[in-house]
Amino acid sequence: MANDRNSFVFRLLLTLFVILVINFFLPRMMPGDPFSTTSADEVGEEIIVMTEEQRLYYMNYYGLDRPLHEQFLVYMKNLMTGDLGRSIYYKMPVSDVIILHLPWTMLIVLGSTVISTIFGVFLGTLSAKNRKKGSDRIMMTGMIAFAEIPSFLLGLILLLFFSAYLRLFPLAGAITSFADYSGPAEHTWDILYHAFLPIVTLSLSQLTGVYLLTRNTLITVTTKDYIRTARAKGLGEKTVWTRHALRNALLPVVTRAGFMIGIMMGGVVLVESVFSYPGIGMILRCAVVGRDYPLIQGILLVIAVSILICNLLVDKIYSKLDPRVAI
Amino acid sequence: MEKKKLLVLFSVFLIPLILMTAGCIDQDSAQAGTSAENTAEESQKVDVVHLSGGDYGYPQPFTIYPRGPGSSKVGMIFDSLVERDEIGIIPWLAESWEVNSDGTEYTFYLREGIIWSDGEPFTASDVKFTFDYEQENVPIAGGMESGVVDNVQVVDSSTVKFVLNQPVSTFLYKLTSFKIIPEHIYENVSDPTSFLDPEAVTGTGPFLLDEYNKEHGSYRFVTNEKFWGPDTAVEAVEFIPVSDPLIAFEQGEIDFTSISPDILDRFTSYPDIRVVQQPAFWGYQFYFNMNKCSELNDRKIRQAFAYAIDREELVGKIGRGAGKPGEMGILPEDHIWYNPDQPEYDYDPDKTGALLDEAGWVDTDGDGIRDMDGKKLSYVLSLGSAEVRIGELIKERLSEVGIDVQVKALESKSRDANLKTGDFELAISGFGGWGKDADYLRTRYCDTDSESGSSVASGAAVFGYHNDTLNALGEQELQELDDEKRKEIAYEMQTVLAEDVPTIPLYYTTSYDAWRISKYDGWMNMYDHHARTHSILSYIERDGIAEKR
Repeated sequence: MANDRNSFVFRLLLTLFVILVINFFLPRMMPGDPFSTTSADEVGEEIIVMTEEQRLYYMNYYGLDRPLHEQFLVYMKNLMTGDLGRSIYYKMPVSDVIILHLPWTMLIVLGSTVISTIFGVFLGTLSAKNRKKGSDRIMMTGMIAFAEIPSFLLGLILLLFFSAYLRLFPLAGAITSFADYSGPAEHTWDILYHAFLPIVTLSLSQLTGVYLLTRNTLITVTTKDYIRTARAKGLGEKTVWTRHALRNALLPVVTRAGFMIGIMMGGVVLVESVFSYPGIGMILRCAVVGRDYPLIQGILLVIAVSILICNLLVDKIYSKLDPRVAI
Repeated sequence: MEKKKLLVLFSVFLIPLILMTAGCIDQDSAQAGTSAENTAEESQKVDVVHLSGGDYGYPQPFTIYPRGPGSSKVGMIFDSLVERDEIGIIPWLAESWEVNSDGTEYTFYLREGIIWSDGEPFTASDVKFTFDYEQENVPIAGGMESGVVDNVQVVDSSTVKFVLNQPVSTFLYKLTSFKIIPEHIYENVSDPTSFLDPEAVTGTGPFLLDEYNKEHGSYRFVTNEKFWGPDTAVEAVEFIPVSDPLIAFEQGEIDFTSISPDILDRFTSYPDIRVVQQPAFWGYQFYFNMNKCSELNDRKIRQAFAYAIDREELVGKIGRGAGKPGEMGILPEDHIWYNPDQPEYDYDPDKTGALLDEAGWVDTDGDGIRDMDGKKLSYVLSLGSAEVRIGELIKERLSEVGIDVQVKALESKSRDANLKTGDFELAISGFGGWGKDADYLRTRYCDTDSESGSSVASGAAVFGYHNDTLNALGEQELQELDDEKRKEIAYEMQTVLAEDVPTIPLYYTTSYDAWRISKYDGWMNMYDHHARTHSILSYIERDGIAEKR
């Protein structure tokens, strides 16, 4: 048992090390450096073109003129003490930038995971119960067709309709600028009001997956012997579905929800930019465009670690839900 | 069991929410006081102007971001010795100045009674300090490039002398973006790049930074009551994040925006909205790499390109009419020193054919591509993903005259890296600043002081171009202190360049600005810059020192 645990920790550390190496070298292999911008990306955009002296000064300031292996050792050493380095673009510690933006991404990712899971399970159950009837077919076709809409397009449609046309929701941002809140309740309300459309967009784009998974596993489960046994025992249809069928069908849904959190952390970039939502995706985009190596490393590390943690959590919950599985 | 799980899930969801609310409360209560005061007094003044925001960094010279309008936000807080208005350079912190006969010493007489926003007096030693400090700590913007000034001397508390290494005709122009920082604050700061304290934005300028939210990309500037100059015309300027500036403008969230020509009609009919075209100071340039493709050293070939590329068509099809075709003399028509009398290159494929035939490039094997001694006129055209349509149109026109082009779209940093190292054959890049002092003709196209093999100057991907006449004119232009004479030299330089075609300016964009007159109508353009919101004079009363000209 102790041996098992050791090898598990070893595997985890090895994974982490490989991630760190890739995180470090991949961004630096992209062409260009943070200071040699000469062209603007869009009409009218302002850029500050640095002179060669300025460029060399800043390369030296951030230690980018040193050999790559030396930079890597410095990075690893700093990382051991919890120092993620200093963002070149934002001019502040990487950890501060991430702490500032991560909660916003967490809010919409967790929010939409919860919502899409609840609705997906509900609709999936409904569909499975009415299997082979008209309503199931319509729902299934509709959901699959719906899943083909890319999330940023969906976001754009929602934004144009609800915010621009109906003016029900804000056009951008995560809070009202320069607002004076009378209390935490009003503040929370403002945050939820701004987060609503992004969460709905992400939820809708996740919904079909959960729906299909629930429907399919439910259908598989309901052909199992123990369901027949439960029915034979004379249990009511409601008890059979919730206690026996759904509980077992939920296992893969939980796994999926866990994985989805990790994947969505990296995938919210587009949705965040549609809503100008100040999450981690927005700054990742900026960091890549600006070749802000420390920040790219930091964000990718956070995403990687959160995927690892989600996997761990899924394993834990899994063993709770299904006692046959243990790490 | 079930309840517990739900509770855990719920609290996980709540954590980010609590984190965010907790972080903001103390800031908000601190802000409440100031905003109430502002609305009470001065009723005829515009209370607040809303502009499209976004995070461009803490507005001091060392911490703004290199992309986007960060430096104009620095300009709201920090002053320079001289400023630019719609016609030229005007006195600002310096009331007057004297230049010695050979143009190597500038003595500035500073305005009396100026104080920093924290109450400390502004003196000549702040000016000297700024220069010395920035020799050690290079700012992102607002500095003086090295090699120009030898030293700065404090003559007395309101007189300061700049000693130059050699006469530099554009010295005053360079000073317009040299922002003076307070000595009593920065002298204790060893690393200004990480200096994000409130004192860091202590300036002499018309506005104070009231609130900056990096996370959400919003700024609020309020009038600096201690400002030495004319009153501000707007009490406060707020930059707020918007996802689509146009919708935000229509809904009244912001009071100023740029609009594309396609939807111009939607705005021109409103009496309350003023729509004005920007001067053509932002443009696309087409580069030849003469080091890599030796035949491009022949100016006939380059001229042939200029005749073959239909620049009017680019303005119409890509710019939707909002632009002006490129001039081979480089400076756009709206530039104050544009030479209207220079060689013209209207679209004329026949002339291209004649020039190429003359140079010996003919299609011998009938594949539609001109060749000579087994070498074909075939090129790779590198550009950013935003310029693909420009590239495709050019490819089309060039193929009609027997020049083969393959368009290669690159991510913008990769393209910039190639432009810098000279790893391209032909390239397109878009950038602003075409309205700046004509001295850029010298820095970009004269190769007097650059090592061979590199591009002429950093920022300009002109590889392998050399012209003795132009170098000599550039040398003269740099030393000439009389602006009228210097203008003549700049005219000549344009003529030389237009004959040589070292690069092809494709077209300069002229976007439309729209603003609500009832909200605020004081917008102006500096003579050398396209964006109205970037001039500090756009926000203050145009009287006294800042009188409209």
